[in-house]
Amino acid sequence: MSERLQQKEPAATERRPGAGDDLVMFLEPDQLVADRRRPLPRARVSRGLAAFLLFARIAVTVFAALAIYTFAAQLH
Amino acid sequence: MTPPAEAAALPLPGQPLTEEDLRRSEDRARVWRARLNGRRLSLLWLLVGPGLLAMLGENDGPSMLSYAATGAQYGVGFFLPFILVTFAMAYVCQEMVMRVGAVTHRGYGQLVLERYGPFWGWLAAGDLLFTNLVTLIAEFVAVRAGVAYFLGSSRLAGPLAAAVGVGLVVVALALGRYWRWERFVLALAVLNGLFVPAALLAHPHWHAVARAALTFTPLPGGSLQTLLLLLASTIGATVTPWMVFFQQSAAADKGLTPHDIRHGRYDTLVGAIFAAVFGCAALVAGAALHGVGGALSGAGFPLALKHVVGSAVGSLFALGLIEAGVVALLTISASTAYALGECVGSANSFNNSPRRAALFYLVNVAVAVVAAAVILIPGAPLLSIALNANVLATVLLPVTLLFLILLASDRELMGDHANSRLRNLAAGLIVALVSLAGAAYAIFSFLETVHLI
Repeated sequence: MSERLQQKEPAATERRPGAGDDLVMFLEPDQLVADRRRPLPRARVSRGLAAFLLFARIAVTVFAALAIYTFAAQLH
Repeated sequence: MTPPAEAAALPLPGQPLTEEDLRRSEDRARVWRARLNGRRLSLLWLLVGPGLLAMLGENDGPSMLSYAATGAQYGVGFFLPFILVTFAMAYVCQEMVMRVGAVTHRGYGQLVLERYGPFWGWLAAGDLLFTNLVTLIAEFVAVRAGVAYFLGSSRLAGPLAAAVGVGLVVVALALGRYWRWERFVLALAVLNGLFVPAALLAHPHWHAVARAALTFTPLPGGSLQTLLLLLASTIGATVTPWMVFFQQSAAADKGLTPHDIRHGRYDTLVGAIFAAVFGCAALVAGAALHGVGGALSGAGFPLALKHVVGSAVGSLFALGLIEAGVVALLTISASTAYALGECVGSANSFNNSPRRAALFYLVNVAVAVVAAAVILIPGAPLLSIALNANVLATVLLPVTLLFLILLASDRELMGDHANSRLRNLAAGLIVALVSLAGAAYAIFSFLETVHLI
């Protein structure tokens, strides 16, 4: 993941090695479950993009409703 | 031997290692050793999986029935090369999915939720849950059609198909870790190739096949609604919301990293090629029924093929339908469990034990059980559900793809692996085509249904 989104890692001396550390050496830092659970910051969404996404969402919902109506009508 | 430069991970203070970390580390250790020792084939073997499973999983029961129905309706013509085009579209989309999964190590549902907020995250998960349930019912319909062919009776076929489907989901989960689950499903997915001998034994007109592949002709005629249904259905048979959720989560669960992107592309490309060939084979086999009559269509395809071109083709097609349905049951159940786990924030990995990831295991089995229960309802419109499942996926797909493009283009998230302008242009064209096909079907079929045209 981009370094800009990476959280600051504590220095190696602060870590507490334990069982399985030899195996965990094969994972990238942000592959650890603890790191994957840290929420990422929100993306910056312009008003134009937000409006476009909302329009697309509404259109898709309307088309899905029409398709479901057609499907239901064909059953009768 | 020194550890890979990429991998200097230790748990944070106070953060215990989980069994998921340890199991994924074991898998990554094998990848690292293969890479260090220059064992190319071994490396490829270790890294393939999510792409093949997404592509072959999408060659599912309703898709194969849809391809065969298209062949029976129109013969070998426009739709044969159109399937190749749709799989090229699928490759463009799924390559982005793989890349985002490998770079972020997070699933699509989690990323949409975190980067764009719970409103969009939960809507995406809701769409997925709805389309997955409908599609899972359609998978059981396909398995039932295959089983009924061999039993010679549809009375026992429903319960047997339900038992086989749910049983395999449970067996795959019992394997206890992602690597074993993936290899188990891959072994089943190989049988998707059964549609190739079925097509060959149907003695297709090779001249017509070559002409169709090169010229997209003859163009389909007939009712506009049927044509739009088959167009939308063919697109929905190759690119769907569950594939996006599944491959990204599976790439993260497998532990792919940016170093594996090249192999991830091979995995996705080979999956797309195999799926396109097998999909075309289903269409060519179905084309043997072209001109035979409308009665020989839908879930009765294996029997119809047996009567027209012989029992070998019927048996291969029936086995292929069982395989297609079963593999999709496993992958679609998994995509549902991944998505809900990501949105709720609970453990969502095959590398966890059922005790630690109870919701993940529960959802995996529950969606299969619910879908299985529907096919046991007497008089349920199963064939209609099977043929409309792909269309619904096509109609709901554009928003899923829009967020995928936003994620794959996000330089904060993807760094140097973000989409180029050319990739964004290709992806944008795909969204436009999918939107057009979905909207055209929804509007025209609705207007016809209410007798306004």
